[in-house]
Amino acid sequence: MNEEDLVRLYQRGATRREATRDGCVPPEALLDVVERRGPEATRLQSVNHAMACADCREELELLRATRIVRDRARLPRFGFALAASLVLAAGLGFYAFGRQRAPTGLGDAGGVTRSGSDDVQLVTTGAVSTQAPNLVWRSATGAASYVVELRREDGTLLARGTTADTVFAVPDSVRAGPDSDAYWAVTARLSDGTSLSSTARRIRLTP
Amino acid sequence: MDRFHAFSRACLVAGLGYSRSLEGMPRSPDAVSRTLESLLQRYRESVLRIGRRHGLSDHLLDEAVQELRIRLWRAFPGSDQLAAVSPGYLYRAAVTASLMVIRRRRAKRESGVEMTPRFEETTPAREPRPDQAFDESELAERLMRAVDELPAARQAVVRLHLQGYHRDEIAGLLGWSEAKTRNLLYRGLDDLRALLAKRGIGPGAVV
Repeated sequence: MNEEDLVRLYQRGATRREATRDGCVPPEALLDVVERRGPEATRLQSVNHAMACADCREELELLRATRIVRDRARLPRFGFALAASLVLAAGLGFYAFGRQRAPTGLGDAGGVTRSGSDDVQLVTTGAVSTQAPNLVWRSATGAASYVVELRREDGTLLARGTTADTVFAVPDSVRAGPDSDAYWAVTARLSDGTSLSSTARRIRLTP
Repeated sequence: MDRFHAFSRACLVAGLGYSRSLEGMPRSPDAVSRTLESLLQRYRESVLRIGRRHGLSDHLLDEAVQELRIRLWRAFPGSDQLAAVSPGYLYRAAVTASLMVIRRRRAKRESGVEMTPRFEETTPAREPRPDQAFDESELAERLMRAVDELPAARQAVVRLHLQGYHRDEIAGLLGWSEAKTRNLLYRGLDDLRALLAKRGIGPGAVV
């Protein structure tokens, strides 16, 4: 029995089982799953029921999708000042300019990308030493992988990489000159085929 | 996007509250209505895009959106405060509305009121031959019983997988790392195949 057979038979079995809702878990238990509240054993029990009951699965999905929408709509925690926003907007402009010039930019990979909305939050800021050259960002819900790009102000690509982690080590090949500013941005590739992007953020590469 | 929304969006991007940004601007019920409908439309589309793949129906979501609409109107009667709704507030309101709709739906079912057919039931399925249908029903039931025997954590990840959830989605829902999820999934599927083999259901069991 291959994987496809298992999936088809399981879904058939789950549809047949839920004639009554006697054993259904309360809606609050489904919410606990989505919000990861309470003991894991209880949450697993709720998931195991919901995945064998079409009604509970649909209800869980309504709550799960709502949660994901909330997570994606989160505003950045920094930058609650117009000045900071303007700096970000300027950085984004430079970055977009660089992407237009560079044929291997993120936008060439295809798919739907909601760029510049800060759906992926960058953590690393300020000076980045090549001794400890890590770029860090917050994980995005549903992300299968992240594409990281580091560019000079003129749009020249310095480094590009794909990772499943939320840390990217700037390669040794990227050498910092005096006053070497750069912009970096992250695009999260989601499992549903869409993408979420951070705004570009300026960093200073120091030797 | 009209000028009102463009300006509101610009304020949001700039990290400023709508209400502060819109001080001194004329407010009208039409503007509030447009803001509400725009908010609800974006919410609906986003939730549906995520949830549809996993069986969320238009019907359940529309009920939740209608409940949310009523709640927001009641909370902000004819006021431009509506425009300052934060993602956090909107999430709580959407969750409360969803729970209300779920409870109502369960109460209707218990009292014998006919429900709208679910997504799966309205989706045309491949018609198997009668003998094949019987065999598959039997196999499906045996598969469900075998899954019931798996340890809770492996059972949850296997059920989610067989219902079509991607590994990243499973990890996000259960709060596990990608490695832990992958590990439990592979072990769970191995266990499941072993249990099925014990019951005489091998690779050639499906017609």
